[in-house]
Amino acid sequence: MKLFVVDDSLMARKVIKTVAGALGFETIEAQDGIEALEMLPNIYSEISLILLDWNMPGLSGYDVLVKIRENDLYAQLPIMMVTTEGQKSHIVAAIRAGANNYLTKPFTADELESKLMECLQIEGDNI
Amino acid sequence: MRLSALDKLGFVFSDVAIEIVSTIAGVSLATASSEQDGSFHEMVGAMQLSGKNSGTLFISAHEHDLRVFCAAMTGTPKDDVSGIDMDDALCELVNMVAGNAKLRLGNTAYSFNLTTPFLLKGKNISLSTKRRIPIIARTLAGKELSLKLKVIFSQYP
Amino acid sequence: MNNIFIRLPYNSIGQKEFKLFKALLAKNSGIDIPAEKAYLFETRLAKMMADVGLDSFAEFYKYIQSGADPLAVQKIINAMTTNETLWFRDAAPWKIMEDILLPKLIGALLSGRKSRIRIWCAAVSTGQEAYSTAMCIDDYLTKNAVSGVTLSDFDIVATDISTRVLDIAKKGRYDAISIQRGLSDYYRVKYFTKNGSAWHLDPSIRDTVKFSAFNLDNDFNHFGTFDIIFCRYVLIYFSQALKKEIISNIYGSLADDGILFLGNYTLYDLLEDNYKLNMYKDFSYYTKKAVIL
Repeated sequence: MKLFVVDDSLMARKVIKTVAGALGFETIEAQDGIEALEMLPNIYSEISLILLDWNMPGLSGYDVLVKIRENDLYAQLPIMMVTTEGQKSHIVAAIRAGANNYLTKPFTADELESKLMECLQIEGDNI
Repeated sequence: MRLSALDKLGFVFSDVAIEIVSTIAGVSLATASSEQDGSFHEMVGAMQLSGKNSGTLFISAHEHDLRVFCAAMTGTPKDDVSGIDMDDALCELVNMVAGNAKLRLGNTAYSFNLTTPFLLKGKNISLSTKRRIPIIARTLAGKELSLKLKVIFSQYP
Repeated sequence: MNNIFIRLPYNSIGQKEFKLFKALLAKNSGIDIPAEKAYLFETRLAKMMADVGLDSFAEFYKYIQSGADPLAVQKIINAMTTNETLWFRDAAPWKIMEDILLPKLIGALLSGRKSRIRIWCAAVSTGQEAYSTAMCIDDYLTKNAVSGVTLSDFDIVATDISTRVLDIAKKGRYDAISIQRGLSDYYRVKYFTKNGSAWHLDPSIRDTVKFSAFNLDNDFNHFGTFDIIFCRYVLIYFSQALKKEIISNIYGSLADDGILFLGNYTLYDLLEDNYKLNMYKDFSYYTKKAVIL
């Protein structure tokens, strides 16, 4: 399974890649929302989950989320927002715009693991 | 009253930073000093705070401490940590501290919005302000590394 | 520092709702969330609220009380508990085990004075404390060529209130970030195998530990007595009254010659009636007062 990690922070992408890798996931990375939308048509069929940061230069993660959900091709792609914006209003807005889950930074490796399992509805070692 | 508000703000920002460093790097820090000190280590991450209150958040670290931080954060050997990794890690730390402080300060008189973090590098950088605007200054230190955290608001409610 | 700010953010969790959720969490887990941490409810529960289409904490509270989701309270506990995850945290407990405890306990096994050694890691989180203990014992036995005693003579019981972290703990599999937090190369090489990007704990160590969900606010009676109890860095989340109650319950679960390890902070005012403070270099550990070791 592949995860699409969209975050302008190199370190955030590395951490997610490390934790996801230990669970058996490969990751594809984009450094911002514009790059993510450019890459998506070519990779959407291989990815199982998009991890999307909110605060990015250019297009915000929320705007990327809205654009993804506007496209029928990607309608079923699970999306998890991964961000420092922890206010309830942000979380609720993201869920209503079509995000499937939400993880606030900072997070521990086990929190990320639990969220990935939840998003992908994986139990035990069935990865 | 004004000094008390500064103490409280200083506590929020330093508590947030301590919690974040512990969570993402497994490193324990504690407030070692709260003197009005304008000096920085040679790498300084910063973010302008905007909105209802404007100001700036700074977090600085020695390069060798930042290397330790990055290694712990990503599980990478220290020697494999690059300059780009360290630059990014400091910006991301500032981003997280600002974001979490924003959450805690919510709709209180000290609320603010985030902007994009940026980096300053150099030796002997120090901060001074006009009009006697106090600098919230904290040194956060532990066995593995130390950070200098400073916040200025353009005005205090 | 109490009451950091004058009021809670008004458009998120209100004062009334904060008190309701604070009480709900305290009643079901013992965890005490002070006013200055009210924002934690907002961040950690907002997703649950959005999932059930509710906007306000007041409505969400009613939803929880309705029993529509029998797992709702456990989900709240899972969301609200945070866990520090380090191998051999503080190092000293395991040094004390090697230098003082294991020689005595192994002697008790060999003489027949004890048939098994029982160890309890309360609040084990993702498993590091229990697995550190199992590795420490196994390493001691092999290094000292102890015959007549094996790791299977030790019962290691590990509990936590969060089912989420227990699910992770049971797997004994760790990523590159988690593996290097407190674990020496020696132990990593001896007890872990790298499989892809994950580090897998030796099944003979992993299977020694029995994990189960347990709320420290509950009755301890069914656990039996233990020779060593770890109750570290968890009491800080509880009210003073509950801390006192747990410490009292632990007393009943500790063997007369048992050892209690708490976090590296002092709670001596709650312990001084029944426990003796012992020091090993800078580290404190507790024994029952009436018994001389």
